[in-house]
Amino acid sequence: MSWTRTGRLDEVPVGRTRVVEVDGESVLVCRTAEDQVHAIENCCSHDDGPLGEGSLDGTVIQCPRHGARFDVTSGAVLRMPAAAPVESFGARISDDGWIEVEAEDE
Amino acid sequence: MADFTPEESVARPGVTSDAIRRLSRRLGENPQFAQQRLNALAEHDSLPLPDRVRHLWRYTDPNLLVPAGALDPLAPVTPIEVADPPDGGATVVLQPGDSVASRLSPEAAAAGVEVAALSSAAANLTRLGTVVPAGHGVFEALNGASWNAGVLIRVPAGVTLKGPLHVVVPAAGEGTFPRLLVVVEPGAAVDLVEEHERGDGDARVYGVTEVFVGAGSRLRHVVIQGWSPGVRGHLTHRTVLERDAEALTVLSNLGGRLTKADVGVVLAGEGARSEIVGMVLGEKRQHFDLHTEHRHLAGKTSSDMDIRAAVGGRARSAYTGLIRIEENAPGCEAFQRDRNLLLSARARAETIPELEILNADVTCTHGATATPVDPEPLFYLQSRGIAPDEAARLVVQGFFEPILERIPEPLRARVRTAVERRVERLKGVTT
Repeated sequence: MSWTRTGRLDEVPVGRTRVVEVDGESVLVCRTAEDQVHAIENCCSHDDGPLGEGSLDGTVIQCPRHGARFDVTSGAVLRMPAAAPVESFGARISDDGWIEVEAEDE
Repeated sequence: MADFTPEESVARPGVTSDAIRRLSRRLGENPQFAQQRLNALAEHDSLPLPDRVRHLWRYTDPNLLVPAGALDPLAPVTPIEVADPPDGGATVVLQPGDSVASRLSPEAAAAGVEVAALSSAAANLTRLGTVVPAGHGVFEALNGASWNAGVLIRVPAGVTLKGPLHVVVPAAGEGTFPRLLVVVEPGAAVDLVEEHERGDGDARVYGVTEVFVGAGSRLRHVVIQGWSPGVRGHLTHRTVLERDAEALTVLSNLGGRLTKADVGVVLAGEGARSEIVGMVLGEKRQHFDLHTEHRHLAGKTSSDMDIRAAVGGRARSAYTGLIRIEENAPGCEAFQRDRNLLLSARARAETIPELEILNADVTCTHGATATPVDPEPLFYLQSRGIAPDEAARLVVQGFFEPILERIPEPLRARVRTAVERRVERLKGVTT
């Protein structure tokens, strides 16, 4: 596993998300608090909806297509019609203010 | 590593008009071509990225296909040697810079088969871009502006070639824009093998192939996508069949990181017949999005689609298959089948058969299945001392066999080799 810098922390306001690409994968970075970032796949497990176009409320993201909800801290599914979790990636803030996402080495 | 938001994606990178002019000058092409390229670039710049709500893009994020930076269609590449031509056929290697290296067998040369750099083939300007115009989509427009590896293949009327025309399209440099224009004149019969291969890092390929099959002709067209693991590509194919023409299109989507393929056959003349058969094999995080379509414009035409996808690891396959029969096309027959085999719990497959039938006097059926791999054969094979990976490979080979059996020899052997080579590399695909 390795860490990939995906952008500056100050570019993502608290309560907002940002779609980035990590190792060819579309990843949704969510800033849920001043010092909290989380990363999940940008793809609803129900119908591949782009979660980055959905709304973030606290730590819950809602898919814009059919309203499925996921916990961005773990990828766990919280509401139908999705039944499976989405993939969750490690995310952290570096000392010099960058958001870093953990990428799987192939 | 690219970072994007929907707002930024409007001013997406691609190629500049300066780069297009330089490319056109370097190729020394007809000024009409240069204008056509600039028109395509204007189309590209005006088209937004496809909306994820559009059904052909529901399962693939178009941002992942946008070039990471400005692409230079004139970037130098390492030339690839042209292999000996198959008996009675020809070998063609398409390389950026529009250099077409080809070797024709004596039989193909004597029959008058023409293989030429597209930029020099001014006589065929009227066909280029007619079935896949720049307005087809943003990535087709990018190809229309930037094609840097173009070939015209023309098979004269009445010629039957014994061996295949083997076109090798290496993914070279950061961006490759192959463009194939194939004209099979009336009464001819030919096999065409289009093989996409290689690719460094996360190279991008934006390809367009236009094929015109004249009245009473037969074309068997094999497309093998065997890119290196990191490559992402968008390939569009359209074939037009005139009266009583016949086409078999074989798709093997095996390599690369992300593939979006749009393959269609237009049955424009009465009595035309088309079959599209295909195989998709993915593992790890490979992503395949395949669309096939048969458009029946004329009556008494028939078509058949048969696609099989096997995905393991975290791979994804999305497939949409469209049959459209126009109002003034009575007496048509059209069938489609799509089967998906999920080799692991985390692999996913989406399948959407679509029928648009505007005429009541037709016979039309469709069916689609997606199923997890049956654990019993895997268990049985392992109980006979076969390792788990090898057992999975045998199951995958068995799954594809009915498709392979639909391909006549000697093309079948060629496709089987490509599929088996890929299957041999499968590892841990059931987890």
